[in-house]
Amino acid sequence: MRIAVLFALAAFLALAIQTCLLHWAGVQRLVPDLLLVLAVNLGLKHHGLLATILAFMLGYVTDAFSGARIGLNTLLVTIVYLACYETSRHIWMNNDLVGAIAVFLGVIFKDLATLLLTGTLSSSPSGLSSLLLEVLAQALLTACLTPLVFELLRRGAAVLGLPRANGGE
Amino acid sequence: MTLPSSEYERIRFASWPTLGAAFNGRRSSARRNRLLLLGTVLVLVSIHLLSTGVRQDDLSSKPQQFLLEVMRPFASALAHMVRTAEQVYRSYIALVHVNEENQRLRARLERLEFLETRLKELEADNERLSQLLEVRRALDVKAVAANVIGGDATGLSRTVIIDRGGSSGLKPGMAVLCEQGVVGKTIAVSRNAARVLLLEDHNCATDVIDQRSRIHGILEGAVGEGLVLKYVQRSEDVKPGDRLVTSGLDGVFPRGLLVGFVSDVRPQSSGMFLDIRVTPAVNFRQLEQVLVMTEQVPASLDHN
Repeated sequence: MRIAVLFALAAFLALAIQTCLLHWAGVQRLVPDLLLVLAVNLGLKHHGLLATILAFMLGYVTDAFSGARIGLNTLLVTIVYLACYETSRHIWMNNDLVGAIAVFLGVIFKDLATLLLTGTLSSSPSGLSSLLLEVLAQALLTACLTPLVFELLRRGAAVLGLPRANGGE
Repeated sequence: MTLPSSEYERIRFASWPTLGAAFNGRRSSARRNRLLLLGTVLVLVSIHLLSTGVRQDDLSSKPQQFLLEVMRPFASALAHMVRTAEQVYRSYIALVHVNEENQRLRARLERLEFLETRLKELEADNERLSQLLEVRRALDVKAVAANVIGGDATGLSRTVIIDRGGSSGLKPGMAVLCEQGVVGKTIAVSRNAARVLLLEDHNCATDVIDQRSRIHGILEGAVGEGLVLKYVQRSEDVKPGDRLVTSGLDGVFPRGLLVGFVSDVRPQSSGMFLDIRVTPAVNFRQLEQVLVMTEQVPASLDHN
């Protein structure tokens, strides 16, 4: 259960940064997807049923504070988590750089899928290049922040007395 | 002597690495299967949520209300802290070059500057609220003023969080305005907070009229491109600079509220409609206070 506490606290902080801090700092377009970073961390380092449920809940939390369709981020974040889990079973991923790459790809997948499923791409074809640029920038920004988030999670886990996560339960 | 079966297994696998690995492999495989099964179930649940809870009213589900309510005090406190910090920073900047010989005067000036900044903020708030009050009077419907306390969790959607909720009479689907014009509509409401879908979001569609030529169209948000007016035929009379107002047909916004100005009109390269770009009347980046109409909209507000 301590992992649930850790990720609940982390999700709350991530949400506060994404919805409040950045909003008041005047950043409304280029928002790093810190909740997805948490889901990727779960997929790469915490393999268990509870981690799967936590990833699902991270998606739901994103939906509760973004957009008008509930279920969209829930679906995509769960898929990103499962993809990270499967990948981490076949590749040794105990490295933050690999985590950053996974986050980069995860954000690109999630954003493009969101744009496709909400019909945004088809509704504004003229702005396609600027949209894709925005997605790329968001993915890069989020990937850059990934090592920091992973390190904070490691320290949080140490404070809570969690065993060092490396793909086990 | 007969060992218990679990102890026997432990000793056997510990002393026989290959079989032990196989045993662990089976356990790992079973765990993986369980996890993938749960993952699949959760993906199906997500698809179910996505397909059934498509639009606004269904968004006000209990977990979402709970999350919004948990976040509200923190968002309010943060908004207050940021505004105060901004005031203090402005005061500080205004005083950076004051001579040290005038410390006593400086201290007094600092206090006065701080008070003046606060006064200016209060004046600005007062002016905005007065304008909102005038809007409310002009509309002649019940409305509640609210502060914007947060933004959207991702950069792809355009929503804001306000500090009023169900306890102030708010419900999903209510019109949200400011002194400049239409802001959007509420999509999720908890007891003391609500989320507003801005007009510039790609999921927001509003029926509007060109005030000059009385042409109808559907106004939609285009991410990164302001607003677009859709379904206006090539033969219709729409010109840059035309004012667009709400038609009242969508049952959310009363008729006659300013939405934006036509900025560019081009015939589509293929198709029967015009490609019309619209500049919103509201500056969504500077939203601080808004007015939420808590009463059913009247059929018409045309007083021009």
